[in-house]
Amino acid sequence: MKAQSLTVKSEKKLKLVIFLIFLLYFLVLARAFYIQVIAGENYVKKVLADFPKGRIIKITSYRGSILDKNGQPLAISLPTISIYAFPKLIQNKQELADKLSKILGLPQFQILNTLNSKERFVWIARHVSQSDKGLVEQAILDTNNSKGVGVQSDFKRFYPDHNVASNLIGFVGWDGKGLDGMEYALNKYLGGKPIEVMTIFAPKEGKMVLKPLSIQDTGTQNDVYLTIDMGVQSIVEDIKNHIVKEFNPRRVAIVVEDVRNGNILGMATYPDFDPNDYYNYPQRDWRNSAVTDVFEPGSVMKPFFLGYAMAKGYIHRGETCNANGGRGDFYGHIVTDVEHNGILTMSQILIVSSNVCAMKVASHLTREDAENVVNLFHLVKPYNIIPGEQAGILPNFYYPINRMFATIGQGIAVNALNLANGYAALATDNLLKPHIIRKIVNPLGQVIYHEHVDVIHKDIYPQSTIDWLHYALEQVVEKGTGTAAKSNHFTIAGKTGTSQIFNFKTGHYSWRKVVAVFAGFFPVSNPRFSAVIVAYDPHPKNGALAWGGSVSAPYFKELVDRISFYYAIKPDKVGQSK
Amino acid sequence: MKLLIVSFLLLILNILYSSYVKYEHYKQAKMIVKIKDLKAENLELEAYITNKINYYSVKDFAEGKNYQPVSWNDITFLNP
Repeated sequence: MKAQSLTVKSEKKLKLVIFLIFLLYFLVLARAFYIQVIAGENYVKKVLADFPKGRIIKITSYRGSILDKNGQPLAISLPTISIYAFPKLIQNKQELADKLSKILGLPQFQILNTLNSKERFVWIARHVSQSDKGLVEQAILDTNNSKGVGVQSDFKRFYPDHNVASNLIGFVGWDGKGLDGMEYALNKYLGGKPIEVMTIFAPKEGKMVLKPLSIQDTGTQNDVYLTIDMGVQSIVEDIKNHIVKEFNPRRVAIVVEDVRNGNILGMATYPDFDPNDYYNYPQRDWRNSAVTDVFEPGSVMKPFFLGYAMAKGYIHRGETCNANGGRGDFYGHIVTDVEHNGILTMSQILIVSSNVCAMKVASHLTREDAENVVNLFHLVKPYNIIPGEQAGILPNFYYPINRMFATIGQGIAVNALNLANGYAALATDNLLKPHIIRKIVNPLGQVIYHEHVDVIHKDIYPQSTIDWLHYALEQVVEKGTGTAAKSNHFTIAGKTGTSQIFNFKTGHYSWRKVVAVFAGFFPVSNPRFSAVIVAYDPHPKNGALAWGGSVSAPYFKELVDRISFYYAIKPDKVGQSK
Repeated sequence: MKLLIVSFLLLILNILYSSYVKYEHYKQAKMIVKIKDLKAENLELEAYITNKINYYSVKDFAEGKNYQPVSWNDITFLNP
C-alpha cells in the first residue's frame, strides 16, 4: 500500500518536472519569437547604433494621390532618384563633383564639400529626376566610383498647382510623411511610410545592403478624392488674388460650400505658399486661416439671432423698432448705426444693418436662447474635418449685454468654415456636417469610403421664419448694405459684416483696422451654394474706411456669377439689365 | 525495382514541376518589374502633364494670348 503511494507520488513529481521542462522550452521559444519577429527591427537598430560600420537609411516610398472631386491631381508621388556616397571610398572626387554638378545643376563646391565629409554615409543629392539616372550612373562608372557611390530609387511629393489650395492641402517632409494640412490628416490613408534599409559599410566591397527593415505597405496607399472642385478653386483663388491686389489685407479667407450635401468646393486663403518649396516660406504662411483663425464676425451674426427671436415669437414680421436716430444706450454702452435710422421693420433691421434695433431684439433673448442659437448653427465648435480647426470664442451669456453684443457679432468669434456652414443652414433650414473628403479609393480601385449627407440639425426654424430670412437677406443685397454684391443674373441672400479689430496694445477697438466680411447663399430661388469672404485688415487705396459692403461684397458678386455659370445654373433674374 | 522506377519517375516529375514553378515565378517577377516601371512612367507622365497644364500655366497662356475674361455685367439674358 505504502509502495503504491510512493509510485503515485513519484509519477506526480515526474509529470511536474516534464511540465517545467516544457514550460522552459516554451518560454525560450516565445522569447526567440519575440526577438526575431516582433521586436526584431528594434534590436537590429540597437545593435547598429553601436556598430561602427552599420547604418540605417530611410527611403521615401510611394504615397497615394490627393485629387479634386473630378480626379484632377492636387498632390502626387513622383518617382525620383537619390544619390548616396561612402566618402571614405570615393576616388577622383574633383572629377566626380564636376560631372555630377553638370548633370544635377548643383554647385560643384557643394558636391565636393559633401564628398569630403567625415561622415560614413552621405546623400549627394535627393529626389533628382529619374531622367538623369543613366547619366549619373555613367559618371559614377567613368570616375571608377561604383563601390563608393550609388543611386537609390525613391519618390518625391509633387504639387502641380503650386500655391493653389496650398494651405488646405499642406505638405510632406523629407521622409515622405504628411506634416501639415490634409497631407497630415490623411497619413493613415495615403501611406508613404519611409522604408528603412540596413546597410553595412564594407571597405572592400563598398556598400552591402542586408535587408530592408520595413517594407512598403501597399495596402495603405489609397488615393483620396477631396470635395474641392478645381474649377471653383480656380475662381476663388482668382478672387483672393484680386482682393490682395486691391486692398493689401493681412489675411484673406474664402470658403464655398454646396448647401445640398455640405461639400466644401473651394477654400482659398492668403497668405499662401508653394508646398513644393514649403521650407522657403515662413511658418505663418502655412496656416489655413479659413479654419485656424477666428474673428469677430460683426453684423453677419444678425440673421441667426433675429431668426431665432422670430421663431420663438419674441418678434413678428409686421412689428417695427425705433432705432432712435441710430444711437442707443445699453447698460451704459453707447451703440450706433452707420445711418441715422428711425422706425424700422424687422426686415429693415437686416437691410440697413441696424445695430441699435438688433440689440433691442436681442434684449428678449435669454441665456439659454443665445446658447441655442450658437449650438443650432454649430458656430463655435470645430467640425474636426481639417487640421488646425480653431474653436470659436463665446462670451458669458449670463450677462444680457453680452447676448446683445453677440447679436451684432461682437464679443463672439468664429472661423470662416463655421460661418459658411451656418449660412448653408440658413439656406436649407438644415445643418449638415461639412465634408472635405469625397471618397477614398484603394490600390485595387475599390471605394473604401464615400461621403454621405450627415444631418446635424433638421428643420431649425419654422418655414415662415426661413422664408422671412431669405426675403430680408435678399433685400440686403438688392437695396441694403450689400448692394455691391448684387448680380444681374442671380438672386443672392447675404449679409455684410464689419468688425473692428481689438488692439491689445491700446486696449481699445481700432477704427482703421477692421475685418470685412460678406456671407451669403445663392441662388435664393433654389439655394445651391453658400460662401464667405473674409478680408482681415484691408487697406482701400483711396484711404477710405473699409467695410464688408465695400471690400468683400463686390467680390462676392463676382464669385456668384462665375461659380453659377461654371455649373451652368439657369439665371433666376432673367430679363434684368444692368 | 518497381520502387526504384517509381522513385525515379517521382524525381523527374519533381524536377519538371520545380522548373515549371521557377519559370512561372520568373515570368511573374518580370511582370511585376514591368508593372512597376509602367507605374513609374505613368506617374512621370502625369507629373509632366500637370506641370505643363496647371492653374498658373493656363492663366499665363490665356494672358499671353490677350484673353479677356467674360464680364457678366455686360451680358443681359432676355426672357425666352
